[in-house]
Amino acid sequence: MRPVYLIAGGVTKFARAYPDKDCTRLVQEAFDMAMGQVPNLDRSRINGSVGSYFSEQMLGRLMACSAVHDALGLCPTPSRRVEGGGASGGLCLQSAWEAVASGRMEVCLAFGFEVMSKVGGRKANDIIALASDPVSEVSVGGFFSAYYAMMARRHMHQFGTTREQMAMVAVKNHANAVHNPFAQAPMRLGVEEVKGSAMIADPITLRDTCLVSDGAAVVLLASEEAAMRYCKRPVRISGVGSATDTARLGDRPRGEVPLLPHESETDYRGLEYPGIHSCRAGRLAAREAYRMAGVSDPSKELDFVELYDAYTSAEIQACEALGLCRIGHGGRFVESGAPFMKGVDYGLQLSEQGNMPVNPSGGLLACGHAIGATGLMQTVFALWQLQGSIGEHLGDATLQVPEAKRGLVHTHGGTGTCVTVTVLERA
Amino acid sequence: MELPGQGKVHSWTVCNFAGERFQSDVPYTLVLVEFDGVDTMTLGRLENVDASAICIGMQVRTVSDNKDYVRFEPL
Repeated sequence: MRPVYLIAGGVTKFARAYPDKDCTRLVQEAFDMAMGQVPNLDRSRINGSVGSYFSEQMLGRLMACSAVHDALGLCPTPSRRVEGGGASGGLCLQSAWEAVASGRMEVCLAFGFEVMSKVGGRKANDIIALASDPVSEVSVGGFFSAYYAMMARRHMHQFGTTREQMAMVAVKNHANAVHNPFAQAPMRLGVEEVKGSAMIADPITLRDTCLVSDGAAVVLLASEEAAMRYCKRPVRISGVGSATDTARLGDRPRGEVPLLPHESETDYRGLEYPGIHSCRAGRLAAREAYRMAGVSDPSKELDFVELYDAYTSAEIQACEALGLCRIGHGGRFVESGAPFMKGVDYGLQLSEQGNMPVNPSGGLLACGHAIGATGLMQTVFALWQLQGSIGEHLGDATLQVPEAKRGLVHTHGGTGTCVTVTVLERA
Repeated sequence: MELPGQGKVHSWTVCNFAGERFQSDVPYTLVLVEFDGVDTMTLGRLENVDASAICIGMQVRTVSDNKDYVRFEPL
């Protein structure tokens, strides 16, 4: 495998609806933004694309990645679609990485999009629920907020995680997004406001969840030679990992914890893992990516993380899966202030504010979740962090992590059914 | 598959929101139930119970009737 670099990225703001824009138009806008960052790259030099979107039922068309590829002027180069629920964008990124790492392509476009507004919120909820088992889960009235509610409750039971700690995640991510003009739901919230918002599925409230969105995101990947030719500030993809877990939440086995390099067996003696309190696929994806990137202690060797936070509890679980803190300590990790940004006022007393920024962009909770685009949206913000260009792209440098050299993007689908972890480094 | 008659609550939630299909059932309670000697858990509705009485570890039994989804009630 040869080294692969990110050379440019673009996003549309995620929004409740773009009634006048179809998926080709949304991707075109994100693509134009990315191409503006590499003016010497002619589109004839792009050797192909990988696209991702989640749902034909919400979109109302099929083979949409082929249509987008055509609209971008990329025919007759190869195009394919990859899909893995909320991890689709991460899989798309990694599939494009494979195309360049293998030597098949010099420059590859990864694009993602989702159009969720055509069907309305309740219908969208029913369609998304079909990502769980139709017979044993959906037929009972199961849907994703309910599954995450049960996972969160079990985490609270097992580890003493509190509603307040969950709410602090929402406070953090929505406040970060106040400085991100691409975010769908920037707002200043208090812990009590999050807890007191409409109850969806106890203990998950409206503000513990992300919104449904329309939007698109793209990144351009290149070989070393192409990256150096077209880009002044390329970012290297130094670690790639992905893993899966059982499709049904109830089938999660209870065995030993897969350890990360900085952990030991005595850390988790007697802990039944993962059950539904933890995410094994996240751990295994992280372990693979850390091995490739040479990361031995993620809590010390990463400068920031963009991770899956469709629910506040999911962020807590992901911090543990990635080894930013010990399994079971995610709530305390949030309470310490470590995942908050320095220089943002959250209205909270935080003793370790900014030691390990998590979701500086605002995450899914505040940027929105245009499912097929989400992982690439996270990647674009991580790319800009490592280029030191957050201020340039957001028009506000508040969210720039100073001297960011190494970051991580975590994407997650289903109930942790499919997860990707990608480590990125300033070249 | 025949479910064992009795199990215990592994986790639970009261749903105050649902998609179109189950909107008329709201609020309803979902439980993930463990059975002794079975290496998977079963999702079902928990009925005939006050939400304030539900807890992890609560003993439940399956309800047999003509409805087309899995239902439990407190033992």
